[in-house]
Amino acid sequence: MKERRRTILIIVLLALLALQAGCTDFTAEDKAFVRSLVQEFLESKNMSPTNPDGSANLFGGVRFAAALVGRSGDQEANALFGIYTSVSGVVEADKEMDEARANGDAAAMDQVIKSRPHDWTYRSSRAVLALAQGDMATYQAQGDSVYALAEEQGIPTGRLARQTIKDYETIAVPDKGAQGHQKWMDLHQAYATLYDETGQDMYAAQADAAAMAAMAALE
Amino acid sequence: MYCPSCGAANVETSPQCVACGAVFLLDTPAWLSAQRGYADLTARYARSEIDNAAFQSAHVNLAVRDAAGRTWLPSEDPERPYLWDGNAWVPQEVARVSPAAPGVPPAQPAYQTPAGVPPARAQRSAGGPATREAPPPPKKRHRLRGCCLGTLIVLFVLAAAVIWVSPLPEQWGLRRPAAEKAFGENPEPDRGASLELEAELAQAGVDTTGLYTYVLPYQDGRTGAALYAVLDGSAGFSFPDAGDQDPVLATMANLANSPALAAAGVDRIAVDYRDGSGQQTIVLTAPVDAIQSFSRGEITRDAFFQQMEAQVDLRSMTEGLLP
Repeated sequence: MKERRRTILIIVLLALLALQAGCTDFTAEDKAFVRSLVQEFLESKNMSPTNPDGSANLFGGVRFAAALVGRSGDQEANALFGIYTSVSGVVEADKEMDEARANGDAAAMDQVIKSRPHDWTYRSSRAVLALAQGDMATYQAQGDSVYALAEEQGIPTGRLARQTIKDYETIAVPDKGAQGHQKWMDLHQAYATLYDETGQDMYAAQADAAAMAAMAALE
Repeated sequence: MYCPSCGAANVETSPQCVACGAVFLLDTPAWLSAQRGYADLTARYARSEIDNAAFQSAHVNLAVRDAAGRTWLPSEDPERPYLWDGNAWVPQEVARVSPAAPGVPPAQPAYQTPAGVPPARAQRSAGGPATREAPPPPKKRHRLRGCCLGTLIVLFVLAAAVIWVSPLPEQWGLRRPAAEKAFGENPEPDRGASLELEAELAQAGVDTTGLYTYVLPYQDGRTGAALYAVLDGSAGFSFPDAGDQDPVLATMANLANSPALAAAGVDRIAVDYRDGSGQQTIVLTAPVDAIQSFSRGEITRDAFFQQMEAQVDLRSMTEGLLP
């Protein structure tokens, strides 16, 4: 018995190690792509501190140093090199929201919404999570605030529809019952909006299918 | 002889102008030679080849007596040589007279060393200026110090220029950051445009895991927007298989060819690649039309690189290369 448990434990550990190694190799390969591109780019723009023969390249060194601090002669490029400081808060909030969607963590979502109260995409996700958890009051309140913010910010309804679809793809809501009915009705409306906007038949078909599912959810 | 100061006619041996009182000093060969000797002496002194005492001793040996019986020593200023006043060497402003000046009657040399007698002996016998205490040597011109000062000034100017073009003045609040100028103080991404983009990529079968896109409308009076795409390896991003194409550039091309971005007026794209640990590795940016031209094969890779700019992280670029 003890032997068998040890064998299982070893197999699990090996599987975990293999998984980790696989992941590391994956990003390592990506990193190698990037490094190779960067090397070629630096040589092409004479931004390398060394010449191909190994001797020092002063001018290239200065330009390389500028690249390290994110400066170039192009002001538009400089603006984008510096933008991460301003959008890093949004990036972090987005990551936290992704985790909260995946984990169904309402408290974490509320924290993110508190940090960026005007972001309607977060409220859309929160509404769907509330529906999944049977919290209809929150679903209603967050849904209303999504529409209010979208109107205030001039967001086209097609974009709200895309966010709704994305939320239902990432947050599991039961297919049946009152929750399922509401979910399918939301999706029906979202696909119908996209069909109206784009005229693509696939959206009409998806809207029809969602309407059928909404009916079936109450049976 | 005519006075160089007032032009009045004077007799050849006159020590000073009868009209304006200017003190004459003839540029005789002996005096010119003494001046050359002085120039050589000061150069040797400046190079520290001779010390103070040697300078003074050699300096006094350059004394020249003129036709009027006055004894002169060259100085740094040719118009203010030293004159022995009987007690000490005093600087004396002089009007220098060229013995062969055009339009001026040639003058006889004021002083000639007697034949067969070396000038120094003649000078010594003429009153012994060598025994007199010589004037102090000129202040050493520290060429090295001057050179260092020049170098320091150049370095200072260079450092100031480097600091000015670096992001430091922005961090110190001396200059408005380029990002703030272009996108405002608190840029608010156009979420809807990103959603459209992600939907398009998903339809095209591109895995958008770990891809965060931010469409940032310009706030500086321009219309349109820029796309800032974070490709986060720590959040599961990996480059799609692009066949024989470069996967990084293929990703940029996927973004640049998006109709959603065109609708949002995006004219520039930046991709911020982060590795498995979330560490920023590089930010690449290029105008959308350049990326599109490259993806259609209208411009070469090298021509495309010339339109691209990069911010490189040194640590991740040298990882494994440095000890």
